[in-house]
Amino acid sequence: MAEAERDIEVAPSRVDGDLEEMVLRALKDRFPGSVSDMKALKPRILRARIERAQLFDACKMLRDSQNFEHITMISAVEYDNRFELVYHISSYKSRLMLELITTTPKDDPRVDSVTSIWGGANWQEREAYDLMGILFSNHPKLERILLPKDTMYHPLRKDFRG
Amino acid sequence: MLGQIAMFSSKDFLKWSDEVLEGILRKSPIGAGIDAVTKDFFNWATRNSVFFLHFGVMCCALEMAVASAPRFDAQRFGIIPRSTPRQVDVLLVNGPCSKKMKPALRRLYDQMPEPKWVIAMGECAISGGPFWGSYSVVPGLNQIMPVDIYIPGCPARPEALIDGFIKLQKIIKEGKKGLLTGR
Repeated sequence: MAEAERDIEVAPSRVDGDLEEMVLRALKDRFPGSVSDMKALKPRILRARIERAQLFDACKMLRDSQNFEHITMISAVEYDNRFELVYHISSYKSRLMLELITTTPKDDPRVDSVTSIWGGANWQEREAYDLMGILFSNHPKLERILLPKDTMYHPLRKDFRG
Repeated sequence: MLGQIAMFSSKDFLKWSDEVLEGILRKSPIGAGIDAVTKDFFNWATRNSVFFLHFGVMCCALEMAVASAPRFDAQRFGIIPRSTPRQVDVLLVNGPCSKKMKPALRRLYDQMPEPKWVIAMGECAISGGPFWGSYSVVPGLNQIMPVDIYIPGCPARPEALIDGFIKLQKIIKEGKKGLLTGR
């Protein structure tokens, strides 16, 4: 039922028109040094990692030329030494979902906001800011959304004691 | 003789008539007499038409909805939901009150006219319930407003909700006050 993960870099496909391959190759060609760890997790779900400096340009390229019209979810994950932001971006036209992961250092959780690319990212980023403390540059209204506005803490961080 | 009648402006007339009527109705024996006659009847009417605010917060709201549905039928007791706090007797809170919602809920309570009661339905409204130690839930409704009836359950059954309303009717009957004099 579940296909094994294929590492796309190692095993190039013989089918030139394979849509998933084309998307990932376009991403890699445009940002040569920054993209890594590209995988196909399930038949129509892809994953790629990208540097946070290239994130905004990559999202713009994905929306404009690769038909990724829909930002499905933006999640923040906290590890020992870093924060990771996971962007799930979907394409209705090609029926794909791409999982784009960026990493930020622990003491500087700052990323570019993709609200100007997809309007749906507005509240998603506000939630990530409210609960995890990730700061999004150029966000039109980075305020707390789920907790009262004068809350001093970010509850979903690992060092928060309730 | 007609000149003896003082000429009022309309604002003064209203103030004067307010004072006169208040003196007659609320402070004098006439008011107490009217109250003594009508107290029982008005109290019967109040307790048999307890309107609650149509305000659903979380899962217990579905039980509140089904209590008005044909199977459990709260309407046969006169319990009808209203949409505005100005027309209700009871604020029925059926979910946890988050810290962000706290000022809004308090404002709803303040907007209700006297006489008013509060029913806390479900564990979340009683004490925070499963969200007791949470960073964003107020641990119990009595931190915000005086509560008259607590209905336990998670979720509270519709029969428990109707039983809570019947207990509220008993409370209303015991605390019988005249509407004019308040005594």
